[in-house]
Amino acid sequence: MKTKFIPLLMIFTAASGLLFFSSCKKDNSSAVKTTNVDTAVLAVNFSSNSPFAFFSFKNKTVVNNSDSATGKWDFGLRLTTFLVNSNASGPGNAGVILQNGIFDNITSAPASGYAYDTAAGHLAITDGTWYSYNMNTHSFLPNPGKVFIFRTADNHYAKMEILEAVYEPFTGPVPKIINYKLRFVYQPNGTLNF
Amino acid sequence: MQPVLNMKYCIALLTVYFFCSSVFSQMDTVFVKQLDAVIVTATRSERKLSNVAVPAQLISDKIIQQSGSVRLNDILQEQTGLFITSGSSSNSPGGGAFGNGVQIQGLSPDYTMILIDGEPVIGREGGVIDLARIAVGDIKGIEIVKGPSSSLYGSEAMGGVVNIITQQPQSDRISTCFRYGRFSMADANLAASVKKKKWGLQVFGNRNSSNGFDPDKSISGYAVDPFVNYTMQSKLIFQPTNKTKLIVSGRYYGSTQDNFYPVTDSIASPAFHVAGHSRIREINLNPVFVQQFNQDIRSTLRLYFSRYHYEQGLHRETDRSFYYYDLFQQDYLRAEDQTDWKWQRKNSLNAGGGIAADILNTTRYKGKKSDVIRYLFLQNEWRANEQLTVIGGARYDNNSAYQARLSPKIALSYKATGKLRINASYGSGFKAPDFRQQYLNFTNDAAGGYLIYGASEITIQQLLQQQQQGLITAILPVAYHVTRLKPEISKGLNVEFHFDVNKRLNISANIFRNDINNLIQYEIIAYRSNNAPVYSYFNIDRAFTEGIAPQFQFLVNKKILIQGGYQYLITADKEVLKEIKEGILYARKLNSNQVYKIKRSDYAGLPNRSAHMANLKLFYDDEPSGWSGSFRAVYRSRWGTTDKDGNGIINRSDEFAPGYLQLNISVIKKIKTLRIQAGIDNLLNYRDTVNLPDQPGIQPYISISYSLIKKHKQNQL
Repeated sequence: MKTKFIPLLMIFTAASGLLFFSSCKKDNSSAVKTTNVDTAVLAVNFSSNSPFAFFSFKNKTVVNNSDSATGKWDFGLRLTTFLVNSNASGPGNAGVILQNGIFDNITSAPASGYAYDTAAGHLAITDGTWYSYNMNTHSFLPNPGKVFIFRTADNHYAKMEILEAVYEPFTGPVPKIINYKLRFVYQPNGTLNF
Repeated sequence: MQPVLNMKYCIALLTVYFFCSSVFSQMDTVFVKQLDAVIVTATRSERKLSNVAVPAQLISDKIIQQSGSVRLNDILQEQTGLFITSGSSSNSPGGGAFGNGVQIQGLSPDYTMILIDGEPVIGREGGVIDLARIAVGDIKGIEIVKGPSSSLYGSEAMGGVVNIITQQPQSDRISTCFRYGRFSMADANLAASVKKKKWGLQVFGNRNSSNGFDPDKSISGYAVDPFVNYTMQSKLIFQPTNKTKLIVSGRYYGSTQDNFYPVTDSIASPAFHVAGHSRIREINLNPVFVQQFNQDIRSTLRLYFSRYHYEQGLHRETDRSFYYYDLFQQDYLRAEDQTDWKWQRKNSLNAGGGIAADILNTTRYKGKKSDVIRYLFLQNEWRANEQLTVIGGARYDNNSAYQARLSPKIALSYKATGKLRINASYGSGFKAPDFRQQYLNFTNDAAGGYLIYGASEITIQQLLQQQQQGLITAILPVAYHVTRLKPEISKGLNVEFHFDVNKRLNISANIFRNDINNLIQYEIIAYRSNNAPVYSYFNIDRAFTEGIAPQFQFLVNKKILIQGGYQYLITADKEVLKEIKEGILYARKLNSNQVYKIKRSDYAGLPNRSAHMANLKLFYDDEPSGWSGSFRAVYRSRWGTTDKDGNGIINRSDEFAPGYLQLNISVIKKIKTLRIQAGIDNLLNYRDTVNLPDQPGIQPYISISYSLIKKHKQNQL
């Protein structure tokens, strides 16, 4: 009887301990949490000759293309080509890390290691590294588990995930707009934590 | 009404026989003969099935007839471990001819060799030889060898070999058969043979047609377009002395299919209709000369010519303007000699060599492409004692287009007891990079304008040049690795246990594992200025297939034979397994944004593979009363189709085609030389318009055949 009882007791203790720690952690994080998860839909030109669509994490909106030479935007998209606002692409200080992981589980941004658009032909994000293209349905499927960690143009941090890439209904031979549905967290206080 | 009544009567009859199996005196029915027939494919020489050391199987003409099979895919889909891949039917230009291929031990149709009397069938479209091109109305049998057989047959025999053995002239006979079924599927056969002392002639003609069918009326155009095809086959045997034999076989296959379907120029542009025809013309000519020098030495010289010609022309329906033209013509020429030598009583040696030319002329590639293959093979069978037989062999293939290959194989058969036999074989197989993978230069204007280059058709310098010209907007890093392709290779192990419980029941189980390296896959290498991707081929993947396939055969009494089989299959891309192990592969939950890390158990392996496949077949034959028939059940569990959550693998429930059960029944009544057959294929009317577009649903049919036979004394040619 005794031998049976001890493991049971241990399991109970361990379980309650876990429960205690996890609840503590939850309380802590919500206490300091200064960020929210936001979603946005970015309408992107389905052509490599038309203008980029720019996005600002800070304002959580699309930035006018006329502001392309400013530091108002963090990243730009055209078809499947990414720009980040730095070096060859803009006056900002933006950089990006494309990281494998689960969006919710990434709680802080790395302090260094960000890639920049060093030249027009050498962009921070290589095309084809974050989606699969289906030849039969012509659909772009964002790879699950690819999280974009950004240092924004004004040295803040954000994490972003692309949920969907859907063509806007169209007539004619080629789609004009591809809508990227994004999910992101922006840290306004300048720290690395989300 | 008549056939239905007959069928009910027969089911009742079958049931009675099944449960009160009468006392049987002799067991020399057709069923018994088939239990231990002779097979040539396994060793390139005649061997009894019970003496073959590799997983081999024979489907007799009797079984084919009782199953009511018309084309090769009909009968192969009912065999253990064979998965018939669904044709892409006629929904895209050039796609009409892909058809049904066969997968053996989880290896794609690309890796399965289809032979007719030992000579390869050519004309692979998209890697697939359409099994429906082969009529099974007048053949002697089908031999199937599973596992790598490149040591005997060279490239493509990586997963296995299916060899169609055509009928030999055996008597003076003429027979005709007409079959009619749903969707105006009509099939007519005429066969005749003459058998004299020194020569014999066998001729066969078949016409097969259908009005097509269209299960989904909401989409204009047919799922399978109307078609008509003809097969003509002849075999002349001349035997001037009992040591010399000349066999000349010829075959013609021609098919015409009317095409009419909606197409879109790009991703979702409004559809318009195109119409036209696709045609196949196929000719085989195969003279074989056999010389028996003495009791122990025999030599066979085989010459073979085959041409496969596919042509498709499409125009816009509205203004009849040109839309699409596709030509694919392959010529194959081969000369081969094989010498069989029995030495020191315990050994049989087969040695041979040959030269083959493969020439392709197609609109899809730039100019004519050709390859010359020279090969040598050697195999020795050593019967060490009553119990143990060891076979060793190798084949060397040298050619002009890719790396040379040596394919060795070793097999042994051990009779542990009178009832238990254990076979084991280990060998290597290969598949040469095909013309498509090497030379394709194809812009699919009909589907978004993407471009595919064969690996020998593009270099990084050319891409950079195109970029400068503004034709290419982006070049991906992988494009720097485009290089001449190497053959895909496999190593396969088969261990088989045969157990004869008694004279009437035997069971067996085959355990197999195939490791495939250098798998050729396409990848995006660049983007065109119209944003469509540019693809090329690479030797990148490594994969494996493994599983177990138990089977049984039970002769309930001399009238009833029951066969059953099952295959459990595991397949995986090794790179994917590595990514799972590293924890860098994720999945997205269905209808949610939740992402989670893929576990090994989430990964369903290579697409287009069912983990479970099973069949149970009952054959009935009562010669005195003239009644015979069959009831066959075939099950296939779900199989992966396309990735939908962007991770490139099959893992989510909506990425599968559902599994299904198909029941087929057939009843035959023979009255003297008249044979009436009625049957229903797909009794449960299973349909899946998305994943099985060429499965029309329930298919009742009736056939009548009549034959005139002048009986001869059996003197074997």
